[in-house]
Amino acid sequence: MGLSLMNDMLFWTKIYKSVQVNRLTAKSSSGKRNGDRFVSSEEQHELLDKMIADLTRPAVSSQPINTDHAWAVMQQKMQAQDASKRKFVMPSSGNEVRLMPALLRVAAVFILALAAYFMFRYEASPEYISVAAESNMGVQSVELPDGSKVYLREGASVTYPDVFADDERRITFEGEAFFEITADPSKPFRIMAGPVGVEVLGTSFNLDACPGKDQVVLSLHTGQVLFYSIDPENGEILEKVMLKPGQSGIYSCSSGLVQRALIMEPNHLAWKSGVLEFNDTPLDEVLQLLSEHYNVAFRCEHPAPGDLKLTATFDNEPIATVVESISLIFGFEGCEADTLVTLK
Amino acid sequence: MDNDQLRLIQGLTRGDKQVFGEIFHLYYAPLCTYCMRFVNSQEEAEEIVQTLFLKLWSKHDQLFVNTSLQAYLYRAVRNYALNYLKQLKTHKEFEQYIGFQTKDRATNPDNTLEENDMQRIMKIAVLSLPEKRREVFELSRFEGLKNHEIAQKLNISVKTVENQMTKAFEHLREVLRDYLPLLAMVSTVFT
Repeated sequence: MGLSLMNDMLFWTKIYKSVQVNRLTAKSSSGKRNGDRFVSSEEQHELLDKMIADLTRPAVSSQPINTDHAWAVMQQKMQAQDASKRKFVMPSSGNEVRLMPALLRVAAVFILALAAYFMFRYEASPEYISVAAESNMGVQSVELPDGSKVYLREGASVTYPDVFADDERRITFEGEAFFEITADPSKPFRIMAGPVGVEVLGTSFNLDACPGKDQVVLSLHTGQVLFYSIDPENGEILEKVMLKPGQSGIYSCSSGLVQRALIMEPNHLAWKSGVLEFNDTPLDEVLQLLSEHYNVAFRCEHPAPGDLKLTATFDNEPIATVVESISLIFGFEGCEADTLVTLK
Repeated sequence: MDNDQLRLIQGLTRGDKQVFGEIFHLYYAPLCTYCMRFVNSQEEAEEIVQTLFLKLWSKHDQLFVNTSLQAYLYRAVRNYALNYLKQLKTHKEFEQYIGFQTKDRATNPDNTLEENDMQRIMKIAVLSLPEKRREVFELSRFEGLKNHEIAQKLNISVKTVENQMTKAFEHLREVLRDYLPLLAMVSTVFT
């Protein structure tokens, strides 16, 4: 952050002591003696005002603002937004959100595991282990040879050597999981997740690299990661972003672009914690999230679900309870039939 | 409201992509620069402004602009920035809520703050000032206007300006005093 008042020791000694003293004794406008240092109220104000000026300084521009580039990015985002809107339940057309049947996913994962096994069977020393989280078994955790942990969501799979190489720790991965990677500066940890690579030093994050979806999203909790797209022909890095905690890296499969978002999707860990939190969220978004989380389709007969806003938290509740709550709040009649919920 | 502003607003609410592009090119850079007063990096500012425009496009048919488009956009940027800053804070609380542990925590125990946190807290405090007071503070602090210039611009008396500035500073000093003992810097100086 460069030179700031934070580094000025003399300043600190003065101001800190004066604030402490003025707190303990009664406040007065003429200042108080505090042993060997006498700081008048005016002087304290001056020091505090200096700090205020320092702390409210506008951010410095790192490079000129490129409006044309921003407009290009903007159009991508607008397209993505329109696309995701269209996918959702529209009362008039009556199509439900279709989800890849769980069975297909398990089959794909099994085939991946098999492929991984056959591919690596004839390699030199390390033996490769593949773990896939089966459906309806909840979250499965895997401990890697270096102590790192991977919490696999249903349908996800990870392949890793029984002993890591000397210069790197490399694994391949598909699906969605939460990673806790132990720190080891000498050996970067690399995750190959299809078209996307992630390189970490020691950190924790959620990575959603499900083959059926059109985005790969990494939500970084702690540490630092490098998130990049890979050229399928030579395995080189194409586009990369460095992420800090609280940021997300997004790769769009359709455009091939890598982007950084400065926040994480509020419910992205719902699959692990079971907690869904909504804060003034439009109902169409709510239903979309519930759909993905509970593996059911929703049909809502309200003409403008986006106008209804929900503020609620569901802590590991069964779908029936959630439907009941929503129905109660908005005056719907909820009707559950197998994997379709209708709200009238 | 002048004719051009009216045309832009009408085009926007109609969902005219051409007009939307015009508005974007006209206001993107100045809004980002403005937003940088309230956040700590250009990246954050650009991200916030882009999110704003995205929302604008998404809800174009539900917009109601009764002042100028410019005033509307600047107000929206402030609201989004405030929301973003507050959300950063709750992110830390959220992590604790899901019981999330890691071996690799940054060397910052729970109860101390860092310079970044202080900047965020102060900027939230500025953004949260009552509307008129914030305006006066902004004009003085960020645009360097003198009190009589501010009085003229906002059509109020110089006395009112002085009053508002005093109150603004009193409040900000109080916020600072509250957080000073928690600063990580302080604990290293005195331990």
